[in-house]
Amino acid sequence: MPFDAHAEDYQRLKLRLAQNLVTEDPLEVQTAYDNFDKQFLKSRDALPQTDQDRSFSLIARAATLIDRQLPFSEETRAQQIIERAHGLLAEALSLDPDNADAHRMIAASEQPGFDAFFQWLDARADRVKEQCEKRCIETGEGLPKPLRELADHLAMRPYFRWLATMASQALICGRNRESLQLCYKAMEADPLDMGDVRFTAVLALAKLEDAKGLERIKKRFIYTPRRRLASLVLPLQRRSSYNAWLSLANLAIAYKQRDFTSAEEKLQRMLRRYPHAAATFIRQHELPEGVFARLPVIPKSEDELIVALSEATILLQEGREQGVCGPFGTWLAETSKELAKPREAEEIALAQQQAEERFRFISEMARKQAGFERPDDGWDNTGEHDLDKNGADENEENDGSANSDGRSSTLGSNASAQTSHDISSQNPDDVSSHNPDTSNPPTPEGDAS
Amino acid sequence: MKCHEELIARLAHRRNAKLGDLSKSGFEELLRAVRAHPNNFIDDPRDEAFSLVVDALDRYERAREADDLIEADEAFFVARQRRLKRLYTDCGRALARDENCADALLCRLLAQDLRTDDRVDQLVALQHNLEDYAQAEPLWTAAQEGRDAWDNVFTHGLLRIEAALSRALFDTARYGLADKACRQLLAKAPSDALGARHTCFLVLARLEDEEAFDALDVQLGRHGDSWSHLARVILLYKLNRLPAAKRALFSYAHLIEGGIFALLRPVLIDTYIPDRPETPENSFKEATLAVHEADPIVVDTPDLLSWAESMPKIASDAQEWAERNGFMW
Repeated sequence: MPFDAHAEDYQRLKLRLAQNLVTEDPLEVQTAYDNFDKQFLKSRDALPQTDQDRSFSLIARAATLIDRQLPFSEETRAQQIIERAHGLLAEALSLDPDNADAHRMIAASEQPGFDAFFQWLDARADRVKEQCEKRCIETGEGLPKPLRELADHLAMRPYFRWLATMASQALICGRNRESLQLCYKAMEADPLDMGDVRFTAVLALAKLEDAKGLERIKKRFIYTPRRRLASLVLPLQRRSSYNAWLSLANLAIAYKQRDFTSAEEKLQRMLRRYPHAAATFIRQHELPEGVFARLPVIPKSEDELIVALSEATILLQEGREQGVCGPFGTWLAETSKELAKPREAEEIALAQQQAEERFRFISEMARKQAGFERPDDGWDNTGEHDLDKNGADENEENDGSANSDGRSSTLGSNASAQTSHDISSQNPDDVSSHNPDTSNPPTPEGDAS
Repeated sequence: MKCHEELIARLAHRRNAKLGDLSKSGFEELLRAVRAHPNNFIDDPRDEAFSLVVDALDRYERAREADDLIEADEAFFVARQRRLKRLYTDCGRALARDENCADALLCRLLAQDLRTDDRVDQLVALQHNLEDYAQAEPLWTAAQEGRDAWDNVFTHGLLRIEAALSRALFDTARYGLADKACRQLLAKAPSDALGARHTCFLVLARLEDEEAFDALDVQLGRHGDSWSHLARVILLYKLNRLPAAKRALFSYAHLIEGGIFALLRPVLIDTYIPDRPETPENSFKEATLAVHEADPIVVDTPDLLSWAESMPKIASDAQEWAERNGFMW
């Protein structure tokens, strides 16, 4: 499972319960855990917890507001959501002034640009690491070894998320090597790769057109510590490294090398594997990045493809092209349309209409922002409008139009369902049997595609 | 492209080949005669075709200068379309004389104003189609092994196709292939009259390949220009070496006339037909071309311009330069 604020809140409190349990009678321990689940769902705040736990719970609520509700809300409601989320984050900091997640989430909205946010994160990364390491020592006290490992991991997660955000921001800033270095640093710090930074890494490798590097990193998609246990119980054919980010990176490399046979094969595979993939490739929606962490999505789902494609915008829109899509984005949309099954004709037509509307909207905004008049500079000022894409990019950033076609609401509902499932279905034995996260990988369905 | 000079050189070389290799002074005499009355020496359909391309490009340039005076955007783009259509037709006339006239084929292709991906496809196809013909044309293949291909005027059209392809590959964000195309061109014609090095510097900045960037810079004798200075700024910014990027930005600002104004206030540049216009070294005009070519990789580093603008005196000096030179800030 990738980072999930609510699941983490649950784990923190359960760990707190384990720390506070005085009995060693197995029956009493079992009853305590059984009651814990009920209590967590009914009255979470009544459970034993520290100010740090309370602070974390507030950022989990803020993350839900910003990541799940804000992108799909009307303008008037959006302002209320923003104010509410900021209130929660401020409260979180008043309870725990060193809450790195809260600081990071506030900075995401306050820093004036991608680079400013990146530099802000960069300047504080070492301090966050130190704070997290200090908390490892404090929180793990008195716990048996497996639970101590979980406590350590939970304490370090804000730092892992910090690095993951830095890697992602570096990529958006066009600093592909920096992004790649940060990904490797994050994977070294957290071999479980809870932040799935390897997804960011493959996009950076595609940007650097490093086919060999992409081949090397592929093994991290097959053999990660998180997958190891899952792979033992999976049939051989399901131990695939298939992943939307990796597939898109490979597809981009094939396109860049003008290996159209390979590119079409790869695209065909994606069209077969992901539901409504052709329509997704035509729409090419950009979603806001998850403010807490990358939005958790079900592998092989339409949502996985939508999130991956949104992150791959840096590949889709790159190059000189008259329009919102870059040359690769245009090729992807057109080839998907050609390869789509006849029964998809209706949804393809709808997706195309939506893409055209979006193009018109963005072009109009770009014209307004950049000024379409040719500058009176007296020399050679003819032809294509270089600023179109600049304007489009800026506009996309605050677009918030992802819900115009109902597509994103599918993403929202699925992702929310996944979150609630994670909390309610979390096996109490995870903790009662003293199994930390590290020895308790996600369900096979969740990690094996 | 110095098309009139090229026509004269072609005519002189073809006549020289017919006469059986004149002495150096004899050839210079012939060259003077051709320059005085070029039309008198056009007796081959291939030169006739090239001469028609020269006329077509002259007409195109005159129309372009007139179009720049058009105020309304819509009217401008209509005029642009008309101008390109005319060029397309004129190249067709040249091709009726010589179906393998590389420059006519290239200009006709570029006049179609294709999407960048289609432009790459067609340029690759064009290059492939002309390969066989080139092998059979003695004056095209006359360049000796190890000699600079640009020394043979009959290869210029083919080299221009390669240069156009390298730029089109860059425009479709195929940086590895663009690098390869530029390297091939530099190996064939180290004099690099077509400026493959410029595209190469931009490619290496985009791929954040500092080692290859420095190696190319050394290979070219560290002869800086708008492209290499700008590319270095982009490279160092991308590598997050901001103090070094800042120094590179100041070098670019100091060495390139109006370079920062060109960077912060980019102007619209049309597709190069058939190749990059000639500009004075380190001039403002050169900078506008470099900035135009670098646009896809500048856009790919979304905060680069705001970072540059935030550097001390950069924006104010650029504004001052603009006001001094009659440009609107």
